[in-house]
Amino acid sequence: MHAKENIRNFSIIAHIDHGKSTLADRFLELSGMVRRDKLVAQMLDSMDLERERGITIKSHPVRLEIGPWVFNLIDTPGHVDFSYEVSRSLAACEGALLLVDATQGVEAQTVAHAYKAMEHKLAIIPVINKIDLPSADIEGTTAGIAQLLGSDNVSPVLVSAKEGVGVEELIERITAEIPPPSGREDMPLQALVFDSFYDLYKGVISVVRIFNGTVRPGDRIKFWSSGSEYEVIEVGYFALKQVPVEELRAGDVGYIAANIRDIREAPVGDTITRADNPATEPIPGFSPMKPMVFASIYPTVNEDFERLREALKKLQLNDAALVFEPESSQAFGPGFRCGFLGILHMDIVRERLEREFDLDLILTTPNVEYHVLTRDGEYLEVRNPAEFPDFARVEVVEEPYVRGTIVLPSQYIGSVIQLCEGRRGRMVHMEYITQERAVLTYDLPFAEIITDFYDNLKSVTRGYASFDYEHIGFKEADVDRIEVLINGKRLDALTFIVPSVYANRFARQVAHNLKNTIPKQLVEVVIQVKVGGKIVARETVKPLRKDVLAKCYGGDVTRKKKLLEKQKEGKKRMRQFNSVDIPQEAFLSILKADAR
Amino acid sequence: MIGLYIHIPFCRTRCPFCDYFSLSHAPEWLQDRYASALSKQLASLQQTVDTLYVGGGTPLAIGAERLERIIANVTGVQEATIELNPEDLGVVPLNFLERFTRLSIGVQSFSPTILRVLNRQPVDEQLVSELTRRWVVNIDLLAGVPGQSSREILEDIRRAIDLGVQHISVYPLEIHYGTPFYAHYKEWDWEEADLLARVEDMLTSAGYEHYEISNYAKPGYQCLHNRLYWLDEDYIAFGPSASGHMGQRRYKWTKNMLKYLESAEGGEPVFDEYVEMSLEESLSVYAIMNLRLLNEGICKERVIAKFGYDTWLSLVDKAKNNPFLTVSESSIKVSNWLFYNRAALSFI
Repeated sequence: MHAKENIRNFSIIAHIDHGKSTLADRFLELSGMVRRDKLVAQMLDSMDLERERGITIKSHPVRLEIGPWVFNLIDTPGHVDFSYEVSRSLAACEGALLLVDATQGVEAQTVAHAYKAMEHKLAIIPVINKIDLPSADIEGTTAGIAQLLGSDNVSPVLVSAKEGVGVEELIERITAEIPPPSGREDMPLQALVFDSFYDLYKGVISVVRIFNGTVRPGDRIKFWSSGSEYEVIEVGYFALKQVPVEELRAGDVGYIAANIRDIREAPVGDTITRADNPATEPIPGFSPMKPMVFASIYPTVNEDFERLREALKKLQLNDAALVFEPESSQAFGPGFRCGFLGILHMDIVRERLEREFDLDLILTTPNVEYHVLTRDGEYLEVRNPAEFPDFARVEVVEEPYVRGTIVLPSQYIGSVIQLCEGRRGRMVHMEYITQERAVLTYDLPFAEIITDFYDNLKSVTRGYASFDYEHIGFKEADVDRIEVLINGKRLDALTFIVPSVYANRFARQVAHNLKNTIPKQLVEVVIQVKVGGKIVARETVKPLRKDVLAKCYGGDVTRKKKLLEKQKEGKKRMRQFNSVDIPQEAFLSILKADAR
Repeated sequence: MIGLYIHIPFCRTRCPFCDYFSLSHAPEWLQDRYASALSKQLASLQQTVDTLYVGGGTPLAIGAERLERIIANVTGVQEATIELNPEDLGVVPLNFLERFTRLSIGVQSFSPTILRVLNRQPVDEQLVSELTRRWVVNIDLLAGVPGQSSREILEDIRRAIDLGVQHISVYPLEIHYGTPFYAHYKEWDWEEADLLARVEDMLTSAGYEHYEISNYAKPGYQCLHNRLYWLDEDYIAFGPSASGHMGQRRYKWTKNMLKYLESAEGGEPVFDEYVEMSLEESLSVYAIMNLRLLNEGICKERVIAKFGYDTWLSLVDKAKNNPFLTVSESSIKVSNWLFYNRAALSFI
């Protein structure tokens, strides 16, 4: 075992594409664990989806031995949906590399994560990457970092992770500036869980940083939050794969496996201690995972319901943040109401269900949670718009807000302010990082973020703005309920809560989109859209007067049969509601309704 | 009865709405080679056939001499149809037409405006009228061409009746993916059910029988060859993309002209589709095709003769509860031909 003095625990804070994974690859090479020619580009991101999206979703620590040093490189998730995991990962470190692309400058995620690192009092080493590129602006980037760190006197390490330039110097700086872990082996065990995943044979693998004490197989451990106890079956660290060791000691980063079968029993952020000799207090900062975005998932064919349940269960093994419960919709039949950390998390779950489990799914419009206080004093947490109480009974509605950080070229400030104000945002702060770049801080309703805010931000800034946010709690909301009636009967699956300011426009858009997607039927279809109980939009789909394949293609009977088969298949995929066949596109068209 | 369909996949120009397989501006050598290959194929044909149908494309686009060579060995048929384009009339030697009993003319419309939209030539009405004295004449008309008014459609029908043709086909225009029309008119929505009903009224009042969804004939002048399709009987087909049916077997020749030529010249036959249908599939096709014959429908006697009594019962079972089907003691028919698809879905 290495002496604690030679251990350095750190993470790399960087915006997407700023070269975090490439830099990690260089460290891997220097440790001799992989040869460059054997390196699958960006070794640390292991899920296909992560590779495709170029972001790290799950953090994987890696232990690197370089000369006399042990580096525990703790990778952090690269998306705001997983910001709680980021903060836990940072809590496991003594230092952080603030990696900025010399051609791009500081971005919103870098800002948000850097502030978190400062909160955790980490030693921060600024690193400027991609200095080999002709468009590198080292001076401007340095100034941005200085402004961000609130210090005139930063001396960034200049590297080209791709070319391997400056990496040796960086290693010297890490060993000199990041302190070795403190903590004592003879104290009771305190291990911070900063990630976890499920292994078929060993159960839940808790990824931990040991702050005090030691842990070895056979020990009885206890999770602070739940009090549940387990016997450790294996401890180890991560090289590129899991390497079992006899013992983990204060200062180490590694894993503990204790044959735990439910990942929610070993939540991220929790403290593990010894059952027989517990620590006096947990490591601060634990909060249970809370879903923030809700949507329903239905299989397009009802027969897939059980397969969907199995698939969600399998994903949940590895994803403590995913919650779901069965529900049944008039429109889609049986499905699941699911909670996600954010939109990206939702997208990932949907994509994995479709890809890995080959399911064909319908996902409803996502919504946030509303807190409702009724006139008779009842307090409700509403996660499904259809369950919203009658507005006549409602005293106060609250919706979740976020504080958003937007880093952008200053020429776009005007359009971004306009965008944020249009999304019911309130400016908190504006600051110039350099002459050309600014940071805007806005408080925004989270409901505005989960639709197409980000797409719009990208579009008004030609892709040059970056965005990050944190949840700041609930605030009073002025919202209305939109309901859709098909031939006079309310269709629950099309119930939305929207801000009053654009409820009417949204309602008209919904009616219009439905009219264009509901095919002609044998009866006339009347679409009515209500806002707060009043009908504000009405469209009709004229009845079908003929449905006939006229031409016979010579003797090509197969072609005719195929057309009829397609028609029958299409009919099967439609949902019957109040004697009206409604295709999936009608429901999906609502996702595209945008009244702002 | 056995039918023989010969596909001539050549045209002088491509019509912007057509999605059949056809070549325009094919070189002379290719047309020669096609004629030789097909006559060779037909010479080796063992079966005698009852009906002949030469379609396209535009059959006369390869010239009467080549067509003569192709069909030289086909003799003794009850009915022989050739498809003609308006510009063929008056040019084609009458003694060549003597080989046929039935002429099917792709008039599409009499209106100069509509013909411009369709990029088609007008027909010599006088000549058509004269032809009806010697031949059974069909004319094809299109309804629902972008820009076509109801009045224009009814006017076309009236002129067709006045010509005294024995057979009229009225097709609502379908806009197919991949055609120039698709690019221009894919949003074109034509659903004049009332108008189609008026077309039917006009034609039936004039003594035409509405015997198939798109086909009207004076008594005794139904097309025997096309009836084979609708009765789901056997027919042999030659030519790229042509479809044939023998017993449980259905095939569709390759669309690739060169591959087709190689197989016709003695190579291995190349099909885009070649299926041995199960009884269930055969029955499904049988039902949906027979339903197109509006007055006959799925006929109990024929079903029993071909498949047995139990099959008849199973068809009745499938048909019940579908309001678009009318089940009687002797047949299953569509209740309203404008909803043929809804009726047919029971058998898919």
